[in-house]
Amino acid sequence: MLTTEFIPYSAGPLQEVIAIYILFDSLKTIIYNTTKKLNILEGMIMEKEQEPKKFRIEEDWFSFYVGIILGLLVIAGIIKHIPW
Amino acid sequence: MAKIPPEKYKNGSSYLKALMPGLIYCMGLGVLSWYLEKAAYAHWGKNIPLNYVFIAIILGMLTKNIFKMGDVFQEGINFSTKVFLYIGVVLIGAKLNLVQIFKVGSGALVMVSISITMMVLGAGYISNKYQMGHRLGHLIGTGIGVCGVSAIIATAPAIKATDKELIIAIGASLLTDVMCLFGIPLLGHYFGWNDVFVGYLSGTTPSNTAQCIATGFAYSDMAGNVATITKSARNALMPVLILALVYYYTKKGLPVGEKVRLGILWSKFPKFVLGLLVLSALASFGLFTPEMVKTTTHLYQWFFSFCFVGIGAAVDFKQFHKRDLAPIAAGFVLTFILFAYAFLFAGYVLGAK
Repeated sequence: MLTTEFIPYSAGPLQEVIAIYILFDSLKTIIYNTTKKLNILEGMIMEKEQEPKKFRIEEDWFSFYVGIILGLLVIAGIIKHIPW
Repeated sequence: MAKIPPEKYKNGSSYLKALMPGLIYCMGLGVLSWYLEKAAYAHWGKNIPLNYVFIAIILGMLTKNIFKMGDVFQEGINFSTKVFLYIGVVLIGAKLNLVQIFKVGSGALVMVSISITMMVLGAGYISNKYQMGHRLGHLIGTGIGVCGVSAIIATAPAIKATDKELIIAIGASLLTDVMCLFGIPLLGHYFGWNDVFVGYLSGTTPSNTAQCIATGFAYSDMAGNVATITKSARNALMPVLILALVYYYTKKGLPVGEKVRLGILWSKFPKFVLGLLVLSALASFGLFTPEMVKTTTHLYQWFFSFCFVGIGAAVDFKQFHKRDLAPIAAGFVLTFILFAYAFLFAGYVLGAK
């Protein structure tokens, strides 16, 4: 029988260090990918006359990035107190 | 998976313009459903079986069928029902730790593996018996067994289904979902079923991802979480099923739109499920405090309320009259079998009842 109550989980110091490492590594990857995409976009604008291209992203990858970014913004304390 | 912006738009700004009417419509009615839920709770108390999920869907259905909304809203509605839903699913990860996901997900994975096989074989049998054709039968089977419209759309090109077969299969899947959407939460309230059990039923019986999640959240927050995990396990199996169907059609010498290759497993995998796991991993390390969990819960409730208006707006009663009755009847029979199976498996094998 599965329980229906939410079990709070407390992290130890080692887990916190690992979590912070994962957080920064994810942020780094996101910044790297964004920069790469911005560079691609810039390249596209520069070469617009030669080869017109469009920046397109799959719906599920888009949702993946937006969801993760919103989650990280909540962890960072930038998003808080959403009314409901 | 469809790409944004779609190919037909010249640039991002023209796509944004096309999105605006539908987004404003979904967000406006989403906010109204939130307000009406508060008003209903203030008037009748919180024990009534009515919440923002039902209100948003009913508002969407009424406005779509009474006001004859034009195509100008369609792009924004499509965006709301898919992208807002997927973002909401990713955010649910913040309130579940990996142990909980593994606990619910492992049972769900076994349950849905059997149900998908049952549905595809059952649809094949019914389509043969009533001469609907293999492809239509398999489309209805994948639609009802795996994840509704997206599974049908993903499978159709692989098995070279015609447009008519595609439209009929989508209609059957949407109609049976409406029945589940209202039926399961009401049955749950009537018989006093627990949240986890209703979550398993909601995650297994309706075909489309949005409808599964809506059915769970229409009952309770916990049922919604279990339904999300169960449905994610179902979605994760979609690439396996497509590969199996392509293999079957190739072996039978029938025309196929894809080659038998392992790459299908990754290309058809729903990537937003990975987002759910990433946030859940962060939650397992204790990065989300209870206050932050509350914030993400409210965030995904907003995304879902916008999405659920879109689900209601997808129900066009007139369209169903035009469809053949046999595939719709097949859809109802398969959904009933699926419900009975999920009831027995979740209740007695997983011990959730």
